[in-house]
Amino acid sequence: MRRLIADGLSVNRGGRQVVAPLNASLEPGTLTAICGPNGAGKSSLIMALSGLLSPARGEVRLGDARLSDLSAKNRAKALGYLPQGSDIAWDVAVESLVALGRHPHGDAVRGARGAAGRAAIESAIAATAIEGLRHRPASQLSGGERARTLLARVLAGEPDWVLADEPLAALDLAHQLSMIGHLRRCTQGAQGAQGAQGAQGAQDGLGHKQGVVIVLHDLALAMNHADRVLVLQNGRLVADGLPEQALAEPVIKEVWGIASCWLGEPGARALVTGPK
Amino acid sequence: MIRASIVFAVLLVVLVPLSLLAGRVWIDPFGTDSAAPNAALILMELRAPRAALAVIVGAGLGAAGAAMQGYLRNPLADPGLFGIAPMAALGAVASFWTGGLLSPALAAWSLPAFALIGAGLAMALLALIAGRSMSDGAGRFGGGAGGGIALFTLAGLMIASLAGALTALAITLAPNPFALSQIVLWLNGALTDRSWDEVWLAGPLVALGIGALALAARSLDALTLGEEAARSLGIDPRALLWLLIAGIGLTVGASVAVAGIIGFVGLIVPHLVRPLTDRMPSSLILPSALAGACLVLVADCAVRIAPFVTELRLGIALSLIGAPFFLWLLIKMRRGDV
Repeated sequence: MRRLIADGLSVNRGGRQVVAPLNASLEPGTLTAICGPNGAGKSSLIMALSGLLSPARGEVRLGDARLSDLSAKNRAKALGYLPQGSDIAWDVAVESLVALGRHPHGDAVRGARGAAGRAAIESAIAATAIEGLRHRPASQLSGGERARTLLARVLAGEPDWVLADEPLAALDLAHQLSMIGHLRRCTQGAQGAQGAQGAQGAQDGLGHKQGVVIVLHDLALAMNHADRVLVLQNGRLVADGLPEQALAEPVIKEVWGIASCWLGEPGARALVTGPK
Repeated sequence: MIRASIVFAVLLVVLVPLSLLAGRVWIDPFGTDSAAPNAALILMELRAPRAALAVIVGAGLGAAGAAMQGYLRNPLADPGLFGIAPMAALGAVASFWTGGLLSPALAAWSLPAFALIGAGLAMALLALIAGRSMSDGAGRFGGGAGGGIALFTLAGLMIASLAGALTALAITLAPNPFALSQIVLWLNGALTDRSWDEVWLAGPLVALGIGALALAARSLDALTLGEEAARSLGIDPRALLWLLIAGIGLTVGASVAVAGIIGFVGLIVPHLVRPLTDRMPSSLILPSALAGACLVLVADCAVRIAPFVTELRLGIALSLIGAPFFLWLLIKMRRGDV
């Protein structure tokens, strides 16, 4: 598995700099959260890391390879991007939606699919616990089911990295926790081991520790579940490190302008906010 | 897709021979009676090319409609949105102006040739806009919430309305009343009095166009998840757009060149096909081509048989059937039955 490296990366949109030059080297097998107020450049950063926005300066590297040197297909195989929102244009069945994730591998269509493609789809369906929804059309899915289906679409492509833009938005508490659990298991290489297909899936999954990067608004979720937190403010990387450091009370005061206090144990912390 | 394709292919195989027998003069396939002494002639020189053209035009418009709805992620999209049909019509109208200047041998070809030039111009213009609106991976216009496709569609609409205005201008300035009535009549679309020449002209172009659309099919599937997700799956938005411009330009341009403006086929046919498929855009293209062929074939037989003094124009007939049908479909969709 390869590291995902931002090297002097800056991003412009509409002629304006939205991400100022920053360096970050992300490790596979970890879950990194990008936090920051609205308009801080979180979505732009994650899109640039996914290769969907070209850097204004600097570059994104995957291991030794520059992202801009990879073909669109190879980039798509390595980096799975889950956009914000859950936009599904046609009333397609869940299984077909998940299979779309196989597009970079050329076997999104059933007729063209080999054993590896089938196993990847099955293990993605199992990893997100949507076995029962397989034939359900998209219009009949609840918000949580939709989110899980769309995550399964990304996982079906077996990317080295899963990059998700606010995957927990619009989900209730229980679904937020289950969703982050699914993402957490990606970093543990457990995706395949849970696969209903058994041996094939398990073998693929073993040691396949994906890296996960997510944009998160809920600071408590970031504190409790991320291995590392990047905090953006006005396009600048103002904090980067373990959640305890990057989301320490002074940082929150500085970036969000909120006086706050972390309560509870490590791994089960809650944020209490005071007046401005 | 396979099920829907088989359904419409079988239907087409049944309809084509029936359409050959239907018309002002009914031909009895078993009889050798003298009711229709020119039966062989009617069959081979009038009805067979007409049926072939109906199949070609219908297939092209059906496939173009399916691809267009897939690309714009909208079931109300129509291939006319790219402005190709209006530009082809403008070219054809221009030929009524220049027709008198050419030798008779050339004049016969000037209409389809001018229509194809019009369609080609529209395609070139669209490709130029595509190159700009989709420049660099993200698109110059933000690359955010669907910037590229929305912008491109607007550009197509502008081409369509400009071509429409110029066509209207050409009509009001028509050189003589005869030319005027010719133009208006032609704009309404018909397959009357077509020969094998038109079949050989439109057939290969439409086949090429459907081929281009079929190549775009997988990318259209990925667009189901939105523009950003599609790009993250490795889709090159510009390559996809160019394929679509080529595919829709060839199918629609060739159809207008030989049959005039025939509306509603591209809009309605994908709706007829969708319930028989898994609703993925790629599953619609081939069945929509077959269903479009069936629809135009049936409609053309209907206008042939209908007891009017002059034959009802095919374009008008399809709109007459199409508009109420589409209304019914919308109401049904609203109730959630579709």
